[in-house]
Amino acid sequence: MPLMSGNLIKNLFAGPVTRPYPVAKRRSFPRARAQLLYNPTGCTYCGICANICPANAIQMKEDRESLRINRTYDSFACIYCARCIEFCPNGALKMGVEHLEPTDRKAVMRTAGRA
Amino acid sequence: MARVTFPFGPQHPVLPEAIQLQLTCEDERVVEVLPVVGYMHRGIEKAAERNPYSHNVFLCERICGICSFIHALCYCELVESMTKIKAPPRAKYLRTIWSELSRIHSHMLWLGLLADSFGFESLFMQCWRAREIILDTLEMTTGQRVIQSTCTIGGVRCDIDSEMKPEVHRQMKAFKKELEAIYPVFARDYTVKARLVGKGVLPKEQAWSLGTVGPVLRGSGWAYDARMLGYAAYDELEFEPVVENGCDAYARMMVRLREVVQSVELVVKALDRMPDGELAVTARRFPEGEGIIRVEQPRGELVEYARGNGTVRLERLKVRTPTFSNIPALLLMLPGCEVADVPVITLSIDPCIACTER
Repeated sequence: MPLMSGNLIKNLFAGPVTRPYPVAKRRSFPRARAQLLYNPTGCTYCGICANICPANAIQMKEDRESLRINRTYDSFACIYCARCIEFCPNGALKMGVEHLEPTDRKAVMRTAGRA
Repeated sequence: MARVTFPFGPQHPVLPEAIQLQLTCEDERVVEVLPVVGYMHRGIEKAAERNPYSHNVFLCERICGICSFIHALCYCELVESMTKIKAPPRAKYLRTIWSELSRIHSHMLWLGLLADSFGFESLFMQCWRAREIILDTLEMTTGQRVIQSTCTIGGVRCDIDSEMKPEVHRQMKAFKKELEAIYPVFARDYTVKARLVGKGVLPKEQAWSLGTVGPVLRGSGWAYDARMLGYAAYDELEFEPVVENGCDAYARMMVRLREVVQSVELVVKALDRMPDGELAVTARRFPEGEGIIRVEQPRGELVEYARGNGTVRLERLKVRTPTFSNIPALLLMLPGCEVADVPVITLSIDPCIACTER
């Protein structure tokens, strides 16, 4: 225990290391991969992101009746690897640095484009 | 004396993951141990056969939450050897840096858990506080704290540029300062020594014949470390394995503690010597034939074998993790010890059951 005394005295006068979340949040790092931002107006529904997603979080399905392509993004299945961003030819996807808030229900994001 | 058999785990405050040890005791002394595994099997090897080979990097990362980067590195180096490509020198250095940061955060987590297992709560919290610096460094450089997803077949996906380098140096300096306060407590404190010295003895010959790996082997006096093979950039960093001759839980703890110090030095050295250049090259063919690779995880040697048939999917991926090799040694360490020492001895091999069962 004497070996710890210097540390203990320091800790006694130092402030707490933890934060009162969610009142105080840690500042995000500029490179943080926290949420996938999608811009439907820039998207051409080419389907590359759906093909290369390792977690199948992005899916694109063709609706032959209405001649539309339905895109579904499940943020709970997403592993935030940012591979879709690397491969998107139109820059319709971007990574956000702010982490998603905790939630009590799961929902997927649906968008549709012309086939 | 009547014998009593009772379960230790799978849910136990000292075990971070689910493994059961069926202990047979005479009074307070353990006479027989039977491990029961299978609580955390996820079928990752089978899933790897169904994925395109490039997606398996993300799957392999999820074998273990602590040494995730090293799992990805192992898989990438394996596929690179099968597709006959070589990662650029800068990527090799970056892989080394992130591997060593993973090792530091794994060892700091384990040191904290060990302190907790013998009731030293304050030391536990200080270890984890120091570990936060490393996790912040990982998030700053890669974008994620635990599962980095930066290793890719042919190189890495992001860089530590000249702007970020001084910040990493600053973080390493801050971590070293924290470590300087913790190191003497683990190395010399009476409480720590009383609970670890002479506990869980694994003689030198038996450590080798049972096929133990990692700090368990090096704590029994064998200078064997897969980093000596020189994968990534280890061949250019004058790496020497850390060896202790005590053969007990204290020696294994000291190996890990000294490895933390060594890893910090390796990170700093790799940062200073990192050459300029590209980050990744593209594989122009699908994996074909067989490949096998060994890398050093924080817990020991990780072996991966793959067989490809020239298509986008692998025929077989086999992962042998270090805890799998260390469990037989645990069954030799436990008989003869007191029940109160079982948690400390079990933790001394740093069991990672999620790795073992995949």
